[in-house]
Amino acid sequence: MIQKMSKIQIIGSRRIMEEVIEFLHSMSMLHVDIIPEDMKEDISYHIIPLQKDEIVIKDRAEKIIKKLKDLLLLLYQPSAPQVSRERRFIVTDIVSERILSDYNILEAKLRDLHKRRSELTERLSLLERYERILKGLAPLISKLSGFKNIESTGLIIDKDKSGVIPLMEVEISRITEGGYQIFKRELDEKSIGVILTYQKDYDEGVRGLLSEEGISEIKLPTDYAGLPFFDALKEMVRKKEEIPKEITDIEAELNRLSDEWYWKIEELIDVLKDLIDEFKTLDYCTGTKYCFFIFGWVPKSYLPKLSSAIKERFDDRVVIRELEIMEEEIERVPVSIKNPKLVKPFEIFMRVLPPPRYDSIDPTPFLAIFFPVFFGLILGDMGHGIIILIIVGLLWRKYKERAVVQDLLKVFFLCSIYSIIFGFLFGEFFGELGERFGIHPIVLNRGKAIKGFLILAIGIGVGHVLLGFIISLINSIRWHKGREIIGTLSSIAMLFTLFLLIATLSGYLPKGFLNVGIILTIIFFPIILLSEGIIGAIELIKSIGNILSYARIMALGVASVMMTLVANRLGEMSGNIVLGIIVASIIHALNITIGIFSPAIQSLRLHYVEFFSKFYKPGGRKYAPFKKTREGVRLWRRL
Amino acid sequence: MEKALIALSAALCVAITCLATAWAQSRVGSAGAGAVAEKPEVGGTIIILMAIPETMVILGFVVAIMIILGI
Repeated sequence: MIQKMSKIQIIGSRRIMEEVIEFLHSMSMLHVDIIPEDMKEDISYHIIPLQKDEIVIKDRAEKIIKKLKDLLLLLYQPSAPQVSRERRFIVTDIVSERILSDYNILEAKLRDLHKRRSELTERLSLLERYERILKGLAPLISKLSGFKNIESTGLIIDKDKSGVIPLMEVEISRITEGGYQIFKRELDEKSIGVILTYQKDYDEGVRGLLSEEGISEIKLPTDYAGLPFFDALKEMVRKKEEIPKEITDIEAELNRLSDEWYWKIEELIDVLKDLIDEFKTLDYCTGTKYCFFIFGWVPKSYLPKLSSAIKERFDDRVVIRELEIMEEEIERVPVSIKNPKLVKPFEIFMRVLPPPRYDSIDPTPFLAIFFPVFFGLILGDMGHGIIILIIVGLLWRKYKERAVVQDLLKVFFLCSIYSIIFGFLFGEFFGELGERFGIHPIVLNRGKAIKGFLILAIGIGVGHVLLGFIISLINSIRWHKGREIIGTLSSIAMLFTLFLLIATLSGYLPKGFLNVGIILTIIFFPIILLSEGIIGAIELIKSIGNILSYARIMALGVASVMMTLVANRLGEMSGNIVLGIIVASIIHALNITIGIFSPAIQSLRLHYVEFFSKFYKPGGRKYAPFKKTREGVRLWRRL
Repeated sequence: MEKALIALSAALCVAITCLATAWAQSRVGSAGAGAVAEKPEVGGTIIILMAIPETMVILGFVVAIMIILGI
């Protein structure tokens, strides 16, 4: 529900202006606003500019926030936030370089750790590319250790060309005058790894031979390019074993630093944001030589608390004046929405829409009533409802700390209850499976009474759309909008007239009603045209479309019934009880998954498009009180 | 013959509106995917926009039911 707002002006002595602002900040109630046009005309007011040192502090705070935010990106978020201790934050400290010295050291350390980690990860992934060669040739490395003044070369030769190895040996023996050794090992099904060792003096001749014969050497990473082949291999094996441990050590250090610093930095960012907010609010202050004025909005229910708190703290040195809200500034009034505990979770669906205007109506309570009903009508199966209820119960524990998920779970808890209720009324428990346990339809059988279900759905549409018009009418009366009252009344009358005509032409009412319908049309249609213009006439036709759109409740409901029918029939057709249960479970699971999303989306759509369009006026400003992010931290800013 | 014509009419009602909805949803969907990539917070709105063209197929379905049931 939209709370009633009070437009207020706070007047006080210039000497205590900063103190008052700090107090208002900790009270977190006032939505500070620019001075209204009617007050601007009073030339005795003037804007109180920020002082030079205040501008310096504000700029500095903004720079520090930017730096700290960058620092946060280098840290991991530890799970448990530290609880802020009540303390003072000395504002003038932020001008000194000392405040950042610890963070500069931390940043250098973090950047170094991240750099080392990314280098090691890169090296490891490079070594992994040589996995096949390293694995295959590792046993040879120990054999080759201890040789000095020798050169070595690694070769990979396809198995089907292995005949080349003896020929190569003959040639190498000739070049090196018998001073060589060759080691062979199978790398995989297709290739053989060969390491050739010889005295360094024969390096040129051997490499010349390999090049002439087109035998390709194993190319090692550039880091190991200068080393003899087997030394390089040995080093690569050693590194491959060491790197994961080094990465683990770096991760542990990053986790330790994150535990130590993350929440401290978060807290400092929040404190600095609070400080900047206070400076920004100072910008909104106007004053004379001796007085200052702050203008803003506060929910009417909060005003007595704010007034008495100010009175208690400042006595008569600060005064609150409640001003009259002018008709032309209704659009500018911030909108504060407060709903009962049961309705509050449904506010999550209102976040996708812009806030309503102050002179509009918050549709959340209506959404809370009708959304679960529509969901239940579409899903309408006790078995599916129970499964959703179990899923909600399981997720409830897992996401205890996430408010958004908790709200969604509360909504789906209600939806599952309605699914079970409607499932009971429609006699559905995993489709027609319930009939085998003695569960029979009480209201209607959705699978067979298609016409009845369609009439029910359209009937709900008529009621829902008319409710939208009635809400609009009540709101227009509340805000004394004569033209809108006439327009809405005529639309309601015209809708009735149209139903009357349709019922008469369809033979449900006597023919005599046709004349009544025509007379009513002649009366109300011109009124709509006069009060709302051609748009009113188009809106009327649109309303018929809106009502027919509720047929989706029936369409999706029948589709859900058919899916369960298919699941059960296919299960039966399998001829094996275990296989049957598996097949039926898979299709039921698919149906439940669709059954969670589709009814939710369609119910929302019916509200957003069909229902809200009758009374919802978007474009309001959200009530954003001048509020401390870090309660308990006192910004001590006496300069 | 009459039964066949009734069935064909009902099928056409659903089929043509299905194609229209599919075409509209393809346009909304591709534009929506782009929007979500740039602004993930509009995801909820895009899901709703995706559901809007379904009115066509729902109306087609209603007409098909009316044809079959002879309302």
